[in-house]
Amino acid sequence: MRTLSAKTRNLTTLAVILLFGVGSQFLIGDPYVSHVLILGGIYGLLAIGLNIVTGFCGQINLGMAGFYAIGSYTSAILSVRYGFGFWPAFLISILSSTLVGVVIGFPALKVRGGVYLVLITTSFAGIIQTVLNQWVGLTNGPMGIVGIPAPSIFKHQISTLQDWLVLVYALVLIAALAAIRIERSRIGRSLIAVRESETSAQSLGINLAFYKVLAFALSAAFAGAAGSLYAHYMTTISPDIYSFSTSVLVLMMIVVGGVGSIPGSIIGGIIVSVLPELLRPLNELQMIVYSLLIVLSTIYLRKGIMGLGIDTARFFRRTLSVRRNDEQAR
Amino acid sequence: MNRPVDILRAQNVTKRFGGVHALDGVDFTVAKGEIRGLIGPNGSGKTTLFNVLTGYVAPTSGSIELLGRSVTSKKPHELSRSGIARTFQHIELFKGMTVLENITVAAQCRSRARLFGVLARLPAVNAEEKAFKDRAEKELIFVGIDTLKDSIAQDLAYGQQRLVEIARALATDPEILLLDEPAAGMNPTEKQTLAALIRKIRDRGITVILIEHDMKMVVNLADRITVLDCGKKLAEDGPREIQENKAVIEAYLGGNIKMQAAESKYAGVSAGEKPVLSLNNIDGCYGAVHVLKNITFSVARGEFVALIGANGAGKTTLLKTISGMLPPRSGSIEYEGQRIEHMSSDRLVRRGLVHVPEGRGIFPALTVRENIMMGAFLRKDKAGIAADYEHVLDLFPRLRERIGQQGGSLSGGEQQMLAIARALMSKPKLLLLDEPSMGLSPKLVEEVLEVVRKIHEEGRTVLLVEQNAKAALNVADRAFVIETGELVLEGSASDLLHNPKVKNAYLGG
Repeated sequence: MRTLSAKTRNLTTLAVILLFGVGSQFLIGDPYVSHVLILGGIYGLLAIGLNIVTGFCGQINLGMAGFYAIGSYTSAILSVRYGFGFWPAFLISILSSTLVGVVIGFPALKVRGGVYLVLITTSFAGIIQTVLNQWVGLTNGPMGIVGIPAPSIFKHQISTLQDWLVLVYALVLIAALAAIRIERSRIGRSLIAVRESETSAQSLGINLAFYKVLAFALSAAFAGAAGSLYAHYMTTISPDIYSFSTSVLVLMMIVVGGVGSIPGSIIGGIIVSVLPELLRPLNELQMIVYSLLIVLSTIYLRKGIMGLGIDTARFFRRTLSVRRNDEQAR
Repeated sequence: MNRPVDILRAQNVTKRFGGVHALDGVDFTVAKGEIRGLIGPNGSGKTTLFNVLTGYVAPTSGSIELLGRSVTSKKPHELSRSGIARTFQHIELFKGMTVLENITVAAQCRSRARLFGVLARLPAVNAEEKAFKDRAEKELIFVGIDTLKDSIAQDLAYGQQRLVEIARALATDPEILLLDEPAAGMNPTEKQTLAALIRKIRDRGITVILIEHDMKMVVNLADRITVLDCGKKLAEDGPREIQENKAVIEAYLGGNIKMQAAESKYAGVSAGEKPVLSLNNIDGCYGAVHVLKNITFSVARGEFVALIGANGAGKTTLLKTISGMLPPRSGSIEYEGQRIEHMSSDRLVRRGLVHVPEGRGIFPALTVRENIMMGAFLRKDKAGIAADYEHVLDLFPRLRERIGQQGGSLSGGEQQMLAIARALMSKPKLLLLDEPSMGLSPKLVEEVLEVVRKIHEEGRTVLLVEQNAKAALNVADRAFVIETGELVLEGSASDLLHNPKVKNAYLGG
């Protein structure tokens, strides 16, 4: 019963997001709206990645900007310097980011407690950003890389915002389905078991080391994909984008959307990018109100926006069933 | 006659934590198909033995064989795959998952995960997934909680959570099942169901090792019982023999400590004086478990009262309730004529009600001197602090010798002394002591309690909680016996020392 409803819930939410994301361009037609939504989709990919390692497996990761950067720069360097096409560059970005994820996963195993993990992951992202700035020969330093070519699919050049919306949200859909399949499989169950109780997970044959490294690797894979897409969409990247505040922003997305929920991650990504724009008319109050809303949502929506939806549904179902039971009792 | 096969053979297992021998050369052999009881007083090493057998703690020395193969210092997940399953003293469920999901996690432990298969949703993966679910449902039916399969684990009642843990352990398809206090917090009906379930598990061919404080249950279930005391194997025999074993009775009630039976210096509460502490109809819960039932008693000024009872009887909860760490569910507590049941611990300390918790709670990284001075945290009178500091060191000369050492490097007994010394620095009027004898050798128990008596003779009121009944009755004026959350006996310490009912309260008569 419950599994079925969870499944339909996920799929309905995904469908609504996609209709909203892709449809908005055709409904509203404002290029700026489309631009924000495309970025929202890319953020959604990042948030899905973080949700696997932090939401499912319970390992805090404040280094998503590092993996995001590796995805962007791999794609940018391969396509600008070596003339790789979009798809090969995209796949290699995912692979390289994943490999780094494995490497980061290992020291993360050695520490107990979230505080150390925060230090390890933030320093990792810090190191990556420093390398991007300093290794001018490879990354062009603070100037960044310009002229990253637009992708083409079946000889169709992705150039308009419509094209980008379709491409980004198609990839978001694929990523979301993959993540949901992982969540609903034995792998997802093991990851969640590690989060819920490491002590008993071990006693049930779960190799903690394997699943923690796996979680970091998977999350890095999604971040790599997001990074590559971002580079090709913006055509210009520079190190300042991959800062600590980006990592915090991703954490905010999953907190707002709902920790542990894949559709929630995408909603979180979109909200975090759309909300400042909606608040723009407030002028100087914009960032204050934005921050205030985020703080309030972390306090009052402890399970995020997805949680709010589920709780509301459960509330109505419970009140109805209580009433039904009362009637039966009579 | 066919000798039964030994399924598990642990030889000469030793585990040291710092200076403490949690296990000291224990040989532990279990035959296939038996139910083995593992008992012993608090701190005797039962759970440590479980942790060593399941790979959570690496033994300092010794070897472990499972079905003839060496499994010494394997990791928990490897041991689980080779056939050892366990439950935990403090329930360790995956709280946010449904009951069915909890057990499915266990059912998948014997096969390997394939990421590609999951992403591509291969038919083989789907079939496997269905097999896990079926297995999980079968275990739920076996344990008798299949109607709860869609509930979230943390919403269940305590007893049900224990059953989920057992079902989960069974789903790993074990050869041996280690149950760590499965009946803790269960009501009598639930205990009966559990006992029947444990027999059913054995009938499936699974060997069961059971740590349990409910002696009636262990005696009824176990084929053989192993008794641990202070990390050593004290006895191993059939249940009837264990119940009559002199050494076992002494381990539970405390050894024959050579102290003159305290003549009652306590002359009764004089008519006009109000008691220092009085409890009225206290009911208390620990988590979901109802552990204190209608407790009423009082302690007079200058009295030395002992509260004795077996492990899990509710002694610690009662002390915590008095010292403001746990609010009672109902009832009232008066201290020096004031209601205190909703007062916080730090305010009570200012009023001279000081609690020395079980397990000592010293600061391991601070020196002995710093630890002692922490007790004077709330005081401002420098001269008084200096005088008390000297006085405390006179009481515990051993601490003076070790004044510059780190607290964590002390032996268990010295740590206990340190905890008491620290408490004395906050000028207690009423001192609550929780099991100062825990994990100490008889010699040290004597030494520590001797000092407690001195402290009492200096005019302080003492409420001592002890599992070691004889030691406590030897030093106290008056005592209460607590059994499953209720006060069952009261009397002068010397009377209770010879009362056979005390033994019944411990060994389940």
